[in-house]
Amino acid sequence: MAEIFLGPCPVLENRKLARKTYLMRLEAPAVARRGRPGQFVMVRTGPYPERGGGPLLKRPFSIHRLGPDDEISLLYRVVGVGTDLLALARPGESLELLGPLGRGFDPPDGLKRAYLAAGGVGLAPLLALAENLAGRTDLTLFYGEAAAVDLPPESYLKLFPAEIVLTTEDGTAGEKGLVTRPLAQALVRDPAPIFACGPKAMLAEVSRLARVSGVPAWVSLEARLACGLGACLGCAVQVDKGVYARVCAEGPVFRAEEVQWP
Amino acid sequence: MAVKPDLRVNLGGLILKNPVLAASGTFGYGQEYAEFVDPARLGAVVTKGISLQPRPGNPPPRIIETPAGMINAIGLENVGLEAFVRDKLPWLVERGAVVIVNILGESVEEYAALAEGLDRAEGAAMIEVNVSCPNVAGGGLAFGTDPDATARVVRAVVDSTSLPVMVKLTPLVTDIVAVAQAAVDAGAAALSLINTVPAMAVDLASRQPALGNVVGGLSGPAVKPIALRLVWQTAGALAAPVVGLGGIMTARDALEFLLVGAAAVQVGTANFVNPRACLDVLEGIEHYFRQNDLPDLSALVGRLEVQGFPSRDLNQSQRQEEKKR
Repeated sequence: MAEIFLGPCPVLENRKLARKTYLMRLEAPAVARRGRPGQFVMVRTGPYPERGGGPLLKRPFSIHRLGPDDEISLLYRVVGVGTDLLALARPGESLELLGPLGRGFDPPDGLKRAYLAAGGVGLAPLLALAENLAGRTDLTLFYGEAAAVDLPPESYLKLFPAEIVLTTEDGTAGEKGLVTRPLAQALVRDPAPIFACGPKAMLAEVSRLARVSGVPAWVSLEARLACGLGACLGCAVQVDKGVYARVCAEGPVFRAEEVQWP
Repeated sequence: MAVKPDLRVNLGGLILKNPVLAASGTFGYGQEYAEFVDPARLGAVVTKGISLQPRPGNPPPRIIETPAGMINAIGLENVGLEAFVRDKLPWLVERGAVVIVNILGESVEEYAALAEGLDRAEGAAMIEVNVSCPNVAGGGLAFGTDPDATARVVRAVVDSTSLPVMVKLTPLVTDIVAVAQAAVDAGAAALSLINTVPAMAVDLASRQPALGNVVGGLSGPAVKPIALRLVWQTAGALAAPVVGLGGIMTARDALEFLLVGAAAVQVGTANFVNPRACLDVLEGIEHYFRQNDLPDLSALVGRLEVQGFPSRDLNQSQRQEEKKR
């Protein structure tokens, strides 16, 4: 059976794309073959977790890109000791990886038009999805960052087979403000299903916009988790009063209306 | 060629094929690890703690990593006895796993009802009584810190089932031997220790606790020295088999627990770090026994060489004085 790969994967490239954002390409044939957009992998970031020589737990990352060929890419932001160590990895080293994991995006058939909404490093899972939908779905990517220094180079964003609308909170690039504003305007002009990933407050707003516009929305959630396999029950998200789902197993992609937003 | 070592363990009447058990709460109901571990290869699988009724668990965040460890406050989320017996237990039994069912209650009566329910159900080989969960009010810790309360729970369980009973102890006591002795006197066939160490973490920037439940239980390599000492002390003072756990990540860790007197070990947090951890530990133990020509577990268990140390029951004199008073 072995649907989930566990083992070392050689780093092919680990490149800084913006202030704290990195792109890592790994040789991971099993994941590249079986992975679906929206699924994630767990990566060991430290040298000696069982002896306290590095972070104990693997870190979860959305699959940024499946392929070409045997490759996968991860887009990550340095936010703590795990990602700090990950940024130091050099080509030729191997990192232990577990995946693909979780439930990815499940776009309906015959989707003519869709909106992708990314907040910060929430951009990560949307490239794999965009490449999957390319050619059959007309895509617009709404992508918000705090400032221009957080944006990957324009040449990199060209990878997205989508029209791109940029926003920054400080107005140093693109439209000034939150990414949900141009999304809301687009939904008024031309309602279409939404696929989103980003901070919880942003996803809550996306969920609200989808509801008032009468369009379906899928959101990819982030959570602290230990195992990634549905066993530790650490990554709970409230889906009903007193009912929790596991981000790693029932998610990380949920229908927006399934989630109880704060 | 070296003979295959005999790693069988007698755990209070229950014969296990080897001393490596998956610890409760870290291995789900076995199915979650199906791609990595054949549960029949393990000495036993200790299932996620079950209560009489399903429990939703605590609000997130539920886990936080700390240096060489993690704190969890899952809050004993579980499917409840009925669904466990119907939906979860059969899968493990069909695969030939030895199943030890961890139970927890908010009252002596709930523990007894759980034991009775499991006695009727097919498939459980042993009950592990959790008197030491730090994460919920009435999650047993109140029982586990007091020898008399522990004895009351254990007696109620033992009286309600014909299955052998193991009692899981908390490290949060001054005198572990007193609690262990009380459990054994009340009918426990074996002891397992340690449960997680009550702990907390905070986020300075937001001035908020890191966990939704504020406090949780620390596990992982950070607690291993604490566990090793408590297992050494308990195994030396009591004849009942002691199952050691707490920060076992590798075969070497497990062998250290056997050396200080553990009859068997449980692998817990390591399962989160490496889903194959239980098998890696087992294979490492087999390799060590073969390499060192050790025929069976008795060649290592409790063979720690301590020179000139009078007693490992550190609280013995204190207890005797209390009795006098």
